[in-house]
Amino acid sequence: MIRKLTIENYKSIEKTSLSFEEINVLIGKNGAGKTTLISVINMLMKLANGANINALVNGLAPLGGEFYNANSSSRHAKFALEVQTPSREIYDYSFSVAFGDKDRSINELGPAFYIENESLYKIEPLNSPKKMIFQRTGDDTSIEISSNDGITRMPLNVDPRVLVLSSFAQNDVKLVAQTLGSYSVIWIDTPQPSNVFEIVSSNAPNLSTIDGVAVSLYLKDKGLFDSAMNAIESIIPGFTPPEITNINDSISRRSKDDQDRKKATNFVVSWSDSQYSRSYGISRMSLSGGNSRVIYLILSLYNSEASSCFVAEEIENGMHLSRIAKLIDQMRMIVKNRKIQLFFTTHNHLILDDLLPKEVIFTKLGARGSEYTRLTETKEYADVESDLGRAPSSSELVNSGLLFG
Amino acid sequence: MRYLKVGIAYEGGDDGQLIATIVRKVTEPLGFTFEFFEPETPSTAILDYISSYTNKFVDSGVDMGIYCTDQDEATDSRRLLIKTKIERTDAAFALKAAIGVPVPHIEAWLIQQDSIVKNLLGIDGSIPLPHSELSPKDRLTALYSESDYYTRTRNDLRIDIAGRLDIDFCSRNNTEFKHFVQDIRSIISRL
Repeated sequence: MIRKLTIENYKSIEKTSLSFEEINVLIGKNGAGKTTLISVINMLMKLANGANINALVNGLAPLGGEFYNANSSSRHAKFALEVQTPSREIYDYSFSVAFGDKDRSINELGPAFYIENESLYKIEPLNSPKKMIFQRTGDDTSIEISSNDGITRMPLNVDPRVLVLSSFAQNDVKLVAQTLGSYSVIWIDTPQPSNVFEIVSSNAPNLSTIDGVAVSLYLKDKGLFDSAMNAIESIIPGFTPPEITNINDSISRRSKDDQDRKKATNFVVSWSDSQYSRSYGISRMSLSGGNSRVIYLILSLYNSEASSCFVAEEIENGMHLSRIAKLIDQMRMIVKNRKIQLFFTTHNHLILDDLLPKEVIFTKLGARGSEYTRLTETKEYADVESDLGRAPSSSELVNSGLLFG
Repeated sequence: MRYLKVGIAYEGGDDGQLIATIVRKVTEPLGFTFEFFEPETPSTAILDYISSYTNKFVDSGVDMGIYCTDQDEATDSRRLLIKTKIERTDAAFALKAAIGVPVPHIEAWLIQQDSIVKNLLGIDGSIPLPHSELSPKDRLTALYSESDYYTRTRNDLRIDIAGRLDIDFCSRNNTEFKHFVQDIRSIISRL
């Protein structure tokens, strides 16, 4: 769980610092910075899994300079977070992303973007001073490490474009890397590639497809798979769980290649839809768009690691209004029971009816870039509370229009 | 047990089953249960559609029409407004209409009996029910979110609470709930 996040000089964000709840919903106009915040969590997840920052920036800001805030000439973006592990230990982790300049040896550092000023501290209970785990200052090629013998310095043996966090075999470091690396970021608008029929390998199911995530969850935990089916059925009346068929035997029989026979087990997923006859299955391509989104979202949530973090963009897109309350109801139950921290963006005010004000982060583009304020911390919240004589709900506050004035 | 055909018009979302549970709590002791007929709801306040719902109920031959909407912060009586619109549309059907206007919303009816909420959510019975500063809806959501004891959905929780309500106790404590229950009992008594 990410408890706090501070971002400085990244895209539309000049500087922001905010704390998070179990459920965090970003609302605001187009271009306010909702997706920018989500992209930081996505970047953290990938970097913790060993991604190269330079390659990653190509996906986030292919023109390079757009990685940094337009109002700043600095080429250092800072990210600091307080992260809680599943075992409830708390760490302060921070790093900066710098851009190579003329004074720097590009050949030595590799192209353009690299990591600097990375550190990890463990927050000790009872107000004890926090304990340094490691620290890398500037673009120094060594790091300081805390051990029983005190602080020692050792050479930095990792690529400067990769986090020490992702590559240093020390228990605290591994724990934080695993926590951040287990996060799921779902871009709900693009759950499926264009190929029509998919054979899902148990070795590496494609989690960006409905079939892939269905097989992944089915193999991982049949009980969770059944729970996901029940959740989907409560949102989509008449939904029938898919048939997941192991086709390995038939492939093995047909193939003359020994390697084929040794391949992982392969599956095909056969769905059904009330508009089709129940006597035969259909591919995922014949599911309606709205149904696909619900199925993909719920399966992905159940397929996420317990105690991890789940991020999705505009979950309500293409969904009938009558389903939104049911979807939020199911999502709230899943994240509560599985201790998953949830982030999503929305433009739909109906969703607000089911959210607490402390769960909603109002995003707007101010003179100093994107600003993020929890509804309970806005000036307007206090004003409306005074008008109503009681705490306003999320929808009362947002529908007042005062936030957007 | 005799069967009624009951039409329910509500604000959309997940309230249909919840309202049906409360209505059943009132009708079943009187020997009536029902299959409910639920028109497509607009997912917004039903006030602008009262005439349409009434016509639909009449055409469908329902024995009882339930109209539920939140009072929210409106100062005019929504109960009176709904009643007037039903009478204007079909005066005879007004005798088959039960109107529920919880203030400010339906969760206010559900948290009247602290002990039920505490029991279902595993909250210590000796402490006051937390989050009194929040509106009833947000209060129930906050209590639900903090409970590791209750593992079903928030809407399941609302239906579970409704199924355990003491109708007479709630009628004594909440004027709008009392009117709603009286409407239902009056319709039953005329059948």
